[in-house]
Amino acid sequence: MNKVHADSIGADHTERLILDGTKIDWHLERVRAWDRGERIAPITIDMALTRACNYACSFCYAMLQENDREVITTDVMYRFLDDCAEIGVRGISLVSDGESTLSPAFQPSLKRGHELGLSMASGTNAFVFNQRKLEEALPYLTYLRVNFSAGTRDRYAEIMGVKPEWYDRVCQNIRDMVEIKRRNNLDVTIGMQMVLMPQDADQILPFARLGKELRPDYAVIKHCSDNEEGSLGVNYAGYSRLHDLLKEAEALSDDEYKVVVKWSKIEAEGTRSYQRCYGAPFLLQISGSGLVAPCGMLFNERYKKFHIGNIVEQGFKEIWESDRYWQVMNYLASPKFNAQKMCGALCLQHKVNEYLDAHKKGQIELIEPAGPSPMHIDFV
Amino acid sequence: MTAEITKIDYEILVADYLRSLTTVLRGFKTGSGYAFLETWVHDDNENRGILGIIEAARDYGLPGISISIGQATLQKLDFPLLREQAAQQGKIFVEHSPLGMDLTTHFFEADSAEKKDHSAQQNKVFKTSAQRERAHYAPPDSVAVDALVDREALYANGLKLLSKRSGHEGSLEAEAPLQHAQHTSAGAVLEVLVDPNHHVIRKVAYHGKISDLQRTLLEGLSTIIENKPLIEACQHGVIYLEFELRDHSAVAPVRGIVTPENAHPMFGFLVQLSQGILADYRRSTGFDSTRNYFDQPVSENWKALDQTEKENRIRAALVQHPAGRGVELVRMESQKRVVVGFLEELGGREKQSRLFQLEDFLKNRLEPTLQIYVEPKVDLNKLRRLKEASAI
Repeated sequence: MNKVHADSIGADHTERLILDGTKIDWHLERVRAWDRGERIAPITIDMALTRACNYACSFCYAMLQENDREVITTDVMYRFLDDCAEIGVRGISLVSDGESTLSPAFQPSLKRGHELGLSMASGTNAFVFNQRKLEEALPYLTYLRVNFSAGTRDRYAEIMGVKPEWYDRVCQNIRDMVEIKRRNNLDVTIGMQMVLMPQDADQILPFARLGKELRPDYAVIKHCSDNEEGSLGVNYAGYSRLHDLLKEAEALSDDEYKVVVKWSKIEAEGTRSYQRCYGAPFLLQISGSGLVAPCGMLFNERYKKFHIGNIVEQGFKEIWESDRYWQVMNYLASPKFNAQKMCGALCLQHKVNEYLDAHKKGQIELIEPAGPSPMHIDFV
Repeated sequence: MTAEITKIDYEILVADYLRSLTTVLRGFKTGSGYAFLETWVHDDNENRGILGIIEAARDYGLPGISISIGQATLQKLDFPLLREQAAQQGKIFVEHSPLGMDLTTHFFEADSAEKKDHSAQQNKVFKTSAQRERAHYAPPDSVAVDALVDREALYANGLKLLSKRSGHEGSLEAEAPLQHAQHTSAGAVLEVLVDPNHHVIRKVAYHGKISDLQRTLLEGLSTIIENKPLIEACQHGVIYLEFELRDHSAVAPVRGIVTPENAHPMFGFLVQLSQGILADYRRSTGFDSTRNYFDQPVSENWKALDQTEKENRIRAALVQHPAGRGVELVRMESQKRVVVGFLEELGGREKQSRLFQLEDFLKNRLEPTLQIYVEPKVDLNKLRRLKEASAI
């Protein structure tokens, strides 16, 4: 058997910032525990504090994730974060299906999570930030990624469903983030993220150039996810003709600013090489409604059979310890499930799934990675 | 000057905000329709919430802002602190009433340098919050619990039924144009003949110095992988066998994720045989594809039924299971997908549990490939959907 290391499926560990790969092989202790059939805590939980959002992006996957709403209060988050720290969760990314900065629980959660030793991160449109809020939030964050799916003012408004002047405010907020980070010598990584629809290719270079001007640490360009039915109408074949433009955007990188294209997912054209989903116990998702489900693609009521619990109603530790949790996770790993047929395209767990599936098929040996650990290791 | 000052009611603003968090999805408006409050976010800390309004008004360029604060909120406020913070933005006026208090701020015109200094001061506090050492992962003590599981009993019935099957013990003769591949593990030899054009296993056989248990397992695996694509057979054959043999009404063999390797040692040699014959086939033919898009097909019996008959059988099955009470068939989306609805109000966990039970029942009773879903919940706040928009 020709054994290959995980690096061959997208991760490049010579780069400390891995944006197009997985860091799961830096958690082999947990992978081995999973192999033995132990109940492992998620390494990373991707969640939102609300389902609400003040934007209306044309490609918004959250439109497909509707489920019964409950309010995640600060008290709910405190209890949740305490549980996470206790069972061994490492990182919480406030991304998922809502704009978490709109929640009153946002800042208190960052602080509490940080104090508990959890790595905290956020993906945001960054509109409601101001200098004071950034000063408060940035010291508690491992990364802050700004969703910014255009490079010009008018197209920003069009693609992201907001007023053109919001572009100016967010640009200023990014400048402020960079300045606060520099002034206070903070560890936080600041990023910009473009979710690219093939028809918005005119914005690739303006976006990369804007990033170069605003000076975040990186600007990443990624594919758009779609559901099983293709409700958002993403034309995955359309990405291939953008190759040269994307390469040109990457060439704008310099020593302190990196343009990264998530090639591995773009080139996958929405397909999966695996059928079992092994990644969810390592990388769990929670809706802004408090719903705990293995994956964001299963948030909609349609997938009720996969809905494990709600952190508003029940402690997370109790949910994680429940047979229901493991029954659902086992379903995804069983012959009953086929991710190629029963899931949307290119989910959050995709790279972790690739790694674990290759391991189970004997294509990857669990080898302790060499060299310095990558950044943001708690976000697999 | 007072006439130019915008006045807002803090209590109404907060109530609107909290209600909208659960009723609005895209295009959420943060400030009861006030444009200057688009950037404002309610904060559980009333001081910070009110300060946020003042900042939003200042950033928007308003000359000032007047905020009516109710008695209940006043009792939670650290008013001296709020007054001090607001005073950094402008001139403060306070007016008390039986209902509470109006706090009015007339903004300074040029104060940016002073504010930046203040921000820097604030940040020094946060910088002192050093990174704490992370909680180390400590796996729960699963060994003790797993030891209680009688793994032999878990597979006993399945193995007993399987032991009655036979037909694959022996050796395979070369048969052009089929390609031969084999592998040996734990004394057992597994042989296959593969159609080299489609890479599908056409014949399977096993032999060697094997125990009765190995014979039974090999027979089961042979039945599963025959006429399957080689990749599917070698990657998932043992997963199917383990799943088929296990008593699913009993406690699972491990507390976490069940795989053949951790479920019982008896599956180990089958995993090696499966991976070995794929490697042997790759060596002898140069076949290097790793793509496996096999999907379990619908059985011929189920396929032969017309739509009405399929639906009738599903309805009949639903009423036969206790979890199916109050559950109706809404429609079938394909030959595999069954969409059901609940006729009574049930909690989320109850629904989940029933759906799991019903799916298992339908798979066992009617058709192994059936999957159960409920009606999707539509996003009532949708502003745009590309597919729908382009269809207009």
